[in-house]
Amino acid sequence: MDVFVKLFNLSFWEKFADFHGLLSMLSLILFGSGIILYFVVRKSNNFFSWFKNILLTLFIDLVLLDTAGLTVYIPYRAEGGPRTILKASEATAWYHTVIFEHKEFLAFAPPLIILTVYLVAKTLGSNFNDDSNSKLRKAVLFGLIASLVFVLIVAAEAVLVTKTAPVR
Amino acid sequence: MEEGYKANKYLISASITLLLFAFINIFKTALPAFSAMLNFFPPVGPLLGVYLLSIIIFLFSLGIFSTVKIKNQSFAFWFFVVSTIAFLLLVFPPIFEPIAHFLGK
Repeated sequence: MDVFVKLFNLSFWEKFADFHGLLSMLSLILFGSGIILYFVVRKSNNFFSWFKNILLTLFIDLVLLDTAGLTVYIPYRAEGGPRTILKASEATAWYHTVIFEHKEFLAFAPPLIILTVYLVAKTLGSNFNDDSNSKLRKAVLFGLIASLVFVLIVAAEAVLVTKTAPVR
Repeated sequence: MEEGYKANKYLISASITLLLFAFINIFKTALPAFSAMLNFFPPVGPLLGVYLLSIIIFLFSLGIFSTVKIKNQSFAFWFFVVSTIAFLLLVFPPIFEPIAHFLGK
């Protein structure tokens, strides 16, 4: 019971940052589903609507993830917050000026790429497996993999920064 | 064939948006006045302005490429691949900051 009291007593921003992390974990499950379904759809068009729905769900999750990330930016940037702590020392300043900055910029791409991939797949519809659309199919697979790599980089950078100066 | 044009439109618009996001970010770093313009909500900072401006660019590009039809599927694919990789590199501070400092001189 004690653990629940302690969890309840965490600050709003600590809980919000954890929720932000949860959305990120959820995206990894959806990326896995999306990549598997891509290859399933290549064998059978019957699963195309599943593929499309997973891409749409992934897009929504990534938009929420970015929105939560921009919101957590408020306590991060606040006076006396993690950014101030990191920039105060030469040894830790690079966590903000290189790692965190890169994370915030890179995070823009995954929702845009997944929306694009979803729109391409939706447009192709029942013609998804046509030989004439091979380059567009490759773009769909490339977009899925590139976005997954971006999310993994962003997550790794987030862990690197928050273990040094967590949001309170 | 019509779906091919539409799909190309999405790929080209996303690619242009990714590249312009990186360039907006470089100009934001190089020009303090531009950064101040993007900083319309100080608690989040100019980053929010960069995001919103890039979303507007995406919607604008979709409008343009609904009229200007790109037929070449291979071009759309490779432009998408190159833009995505270029984006990854151009938003990395050790790469974009020297460019921004050069432009800001």
